[in-house]
Amino acid sequence: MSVRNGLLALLTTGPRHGYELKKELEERTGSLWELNVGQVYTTLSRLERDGLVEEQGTPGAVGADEGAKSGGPDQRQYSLTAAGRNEVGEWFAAPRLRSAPDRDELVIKLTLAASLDGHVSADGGRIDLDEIIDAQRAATIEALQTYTRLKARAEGDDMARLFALDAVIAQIDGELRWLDQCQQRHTALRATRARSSGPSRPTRRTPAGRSPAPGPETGATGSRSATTPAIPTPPPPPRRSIRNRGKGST
Amino acid sequence: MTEVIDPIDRGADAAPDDDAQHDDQAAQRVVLRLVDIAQSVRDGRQRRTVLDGVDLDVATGEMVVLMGPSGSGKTTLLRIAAGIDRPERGMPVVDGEHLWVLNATQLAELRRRSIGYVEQRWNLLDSLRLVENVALPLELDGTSAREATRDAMAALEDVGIVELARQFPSSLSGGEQQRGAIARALVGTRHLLVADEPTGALDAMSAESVMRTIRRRCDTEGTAVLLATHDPAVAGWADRVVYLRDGVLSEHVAQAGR
Repeated sequence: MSVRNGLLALLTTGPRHGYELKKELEERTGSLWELNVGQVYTTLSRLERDGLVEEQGTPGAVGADEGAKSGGPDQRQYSLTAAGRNEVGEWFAAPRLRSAPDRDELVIKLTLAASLDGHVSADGGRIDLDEIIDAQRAATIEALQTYTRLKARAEGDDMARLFALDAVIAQIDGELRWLDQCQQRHTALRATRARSSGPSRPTRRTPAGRSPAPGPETGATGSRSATTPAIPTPPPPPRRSIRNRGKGST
Repeated sequence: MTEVIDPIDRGADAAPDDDAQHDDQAAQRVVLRLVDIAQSVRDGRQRRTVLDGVDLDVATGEMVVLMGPSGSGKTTLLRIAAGIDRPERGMPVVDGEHLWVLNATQLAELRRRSIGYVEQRWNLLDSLRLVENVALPLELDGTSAREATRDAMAALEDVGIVELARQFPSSLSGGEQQRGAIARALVGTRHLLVADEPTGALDAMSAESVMRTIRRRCDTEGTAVLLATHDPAVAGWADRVVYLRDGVLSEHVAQAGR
């Protein structure tokens, strides 16, 4: 998160100690991110260098940063300069722009998997786009459940916490929709190609097209019985026949 | 898309010991059990298989969310789970009763006693006040008006809108209407909620209030929930998320503990 702008924004309501700023910034942004105290002090000294904050009170005997780290209560307080106040105003007024898309590891993985689908990877396994998507979806849903539970437990009037959790949940929600869309697009495209290339590619189409990969094959069934042992596993026959169907015909 | 499950394969895999083991310890905990459900629908002149051997258990206090592309058969499966439609193959079991072994009277009785069904919208009758809507299933069942009203008020209390009891549905927000629908679905002794896109017509905040309501019912009353949605944010409230694709379920796992 933008520690720099966050610190400046907090200082608009009055001077603070460095450790207060760390704690307050964490809490007032929903307690989802942990700040490194060292980073807070480094940022404060840069802000001071740039004339956006000024230091008051007694610095530690050894000097600025060392004093803070070496124990004794830090007496220094930081306050906003006129330039700093100005900077805060500009930050709140300026919308965030997406001039270039964030480089996202998952986007890179799936776009490459799309072009490498079916190729043999280094360990001899096959790169299977559907399987990659299914495995990702399972992990993403788990993250979604985790953050939804945090939201269920959050106090109804803790707006910062709810804002922050809503943001994470919205991102995960978007990722899931995107994963579904990728898979549907993949399926549709494969069907189109299969139609246009006629019967020349039947072996490619059958196993991947049917693959209900996440459940039976990637161990989700197994871990389900591990995590919820009290709930009986439904009778296995259809699942096994699915698995046979998926893998057997390859 | 026209694959057929090899019947020999299916038969050979029917391992009876698996079932027996689980049945003993968990029978009373499983509210809904779907075994090998198959169903096809008319699609032009042909029949199209939408469910092709679906197995699913929903236990007391558990929320299972069903996802899958449009047309994947979510509604078909929910209607079978709620005892509204009869599957071509397989057994829906609620509270240990095989729904389609029962005669019509017994089935109706079981549905009234145990199962609530909620759809995307139009769950409430406009001409009745909210409390009358909620009391209606009980009154139809022969419960006295006084008792039905008392139970209806309790159900509205449970979903947090008891203060709206005297309102007509048209004066309620979409979220309030759906919470009213959930109250009606779960009035009296009903403890299995089958919900088909219950938040589909709602904005994000109303959807959240509905999901909070359902979640609380699971956690405090032990209500079992099977809920279909295509909204991932709704799926986040589930204990388990299952995907319906090509007529079969694949499963994702919630972390243990809540």
